[in-house]
Amino acid sequence: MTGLPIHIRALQVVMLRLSIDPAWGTRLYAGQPSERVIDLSGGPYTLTDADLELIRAVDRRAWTTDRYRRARLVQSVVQEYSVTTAMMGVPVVDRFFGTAAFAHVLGHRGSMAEGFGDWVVTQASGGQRDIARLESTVCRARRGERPPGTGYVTRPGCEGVALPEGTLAAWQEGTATLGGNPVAAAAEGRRWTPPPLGKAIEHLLIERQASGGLGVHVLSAGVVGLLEFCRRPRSRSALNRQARRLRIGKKEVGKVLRRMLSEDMLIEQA
Amino acid sequence: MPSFLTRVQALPHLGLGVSTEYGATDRAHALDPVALRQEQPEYAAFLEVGVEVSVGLDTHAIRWAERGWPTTYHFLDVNLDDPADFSPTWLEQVRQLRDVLKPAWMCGDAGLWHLGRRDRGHMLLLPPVLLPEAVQPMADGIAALRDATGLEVLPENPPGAAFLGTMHLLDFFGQVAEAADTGVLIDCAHLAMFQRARGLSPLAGLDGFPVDRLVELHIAGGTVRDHAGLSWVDDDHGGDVLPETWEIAEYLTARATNLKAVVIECERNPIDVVRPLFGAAAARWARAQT
Repeated sequence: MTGLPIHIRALQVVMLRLSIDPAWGTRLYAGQPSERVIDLSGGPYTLTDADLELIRAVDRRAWTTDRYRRARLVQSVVQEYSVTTAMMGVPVVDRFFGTAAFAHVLGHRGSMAEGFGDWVVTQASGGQRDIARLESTVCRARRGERPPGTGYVTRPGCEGVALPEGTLAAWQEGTATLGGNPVAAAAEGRRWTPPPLGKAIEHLLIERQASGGLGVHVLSAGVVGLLEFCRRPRSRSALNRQARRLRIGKKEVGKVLRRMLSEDMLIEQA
Repeated sequence: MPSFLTRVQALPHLGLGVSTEYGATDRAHALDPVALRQEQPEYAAFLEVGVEVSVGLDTHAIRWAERGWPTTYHFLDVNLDDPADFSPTWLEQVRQLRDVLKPAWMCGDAGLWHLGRRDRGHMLLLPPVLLPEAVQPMADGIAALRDATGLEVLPENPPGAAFLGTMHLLDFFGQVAEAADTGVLIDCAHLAMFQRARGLSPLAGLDGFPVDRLVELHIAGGTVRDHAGLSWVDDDHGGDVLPETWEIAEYLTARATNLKAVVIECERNPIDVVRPLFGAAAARWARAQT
């Protein structure tokens, strides 16, 4: 299989975005130059005049006949980011679908939930940001996706994250407060404010378990730093350099890596 | 491998069937395919099972298959033109489900089933970009899925209110079928939506379509709705089939020499509501064959 030519992929992204983000559609149909650049894996593609003519041949209203499509996407994010939604509000979740971050998900075969997590931490501050980072990490652990490529990579389903002390407990408190139906809580407009978090940093491993639940372990800063670094495949030399940046002693690096491999935190991806 | 027009002779004649997907039968007032088959076997000669691999099969579909009753496998989770969708893990799961259902063939809307990568919450359905350059990648995907499953894979024209590209939907799918050397599934309601969206008559484009590749038809109810002054058809699988859908169905049943199956898509309706649909479809098909 060869896959689609780049301009067809770009037009697919255009179709998706037009059906989800009518404000973008208005700008595109108006021919705004900045909106003609489609963010694709493999490089940006600029819609030609002929592409634009093709798009404009479709009645713009036809893209949004499914009036609940965007609401369903919002609901899907709310289900996984219940505490973040309660802290920041549903309008923030909805806003994501009009951002370049969402367009990146479309053009790079990304994950909406992971893309939202990356984006929402840039919209938050203080304790809200830390809890959003934790919720994003949980979301990644549940998926266990790793990009292809050779090298050392954190085992799918394992995620390392460094957070202020008390973040995990605050998130658990938020989850319990909202109850078992985060969508209903969001629909009711229920909000939640996190308690103050500690100053010390906790280094956590969030692990998807065979039962479907999640396990949490406290590890050293160096190990968690390497787990974060290896979300995508890394060469041994890159790992060594990162280990040194994480202040793992030169003589300790080999031992740490052997342990991470033997305990299945890291794997070698062929 | 022999050509499709030879291979199609070995496909079973399934007759009239019903569609389902995970959990559909358990919804209030939903059609119970087993009850329909027991009441009128000729209306539920087979079950078309909509399958999203991550969700699997519900007990109703499994029990139907365990009885040895015929099925077809309708995929709901693959963008045929995207090689990245054909992961070894997904293909292995498809094969496992195939072994449970033992379907006569695979079929499914050949469009965008998901945004981004295959992930929870990503499901939607948009038609393909109707340009010649999009034909071969889709044909490649059909051939790859056929090779991986050992089943014929019939692309279906997806629904939509917006269709991007210069080609007629029927020209696009005709070329896809030729390039993949496969059969096709025409959803008459979806085709009626396309014709309406393009301002064409219901039968426009059918004269050049390779009807000998047509193996399966879908007939479903739809509702004309208004969106900001734009008239469009909601593919709601209700009890009211639009006249242009029937017109397309009649045209095709009269000409499709290799037609093996007709699905009445009405899974959200009780038997009493949709019984007339089956009767009308059966009568039209019988009339076309004489």
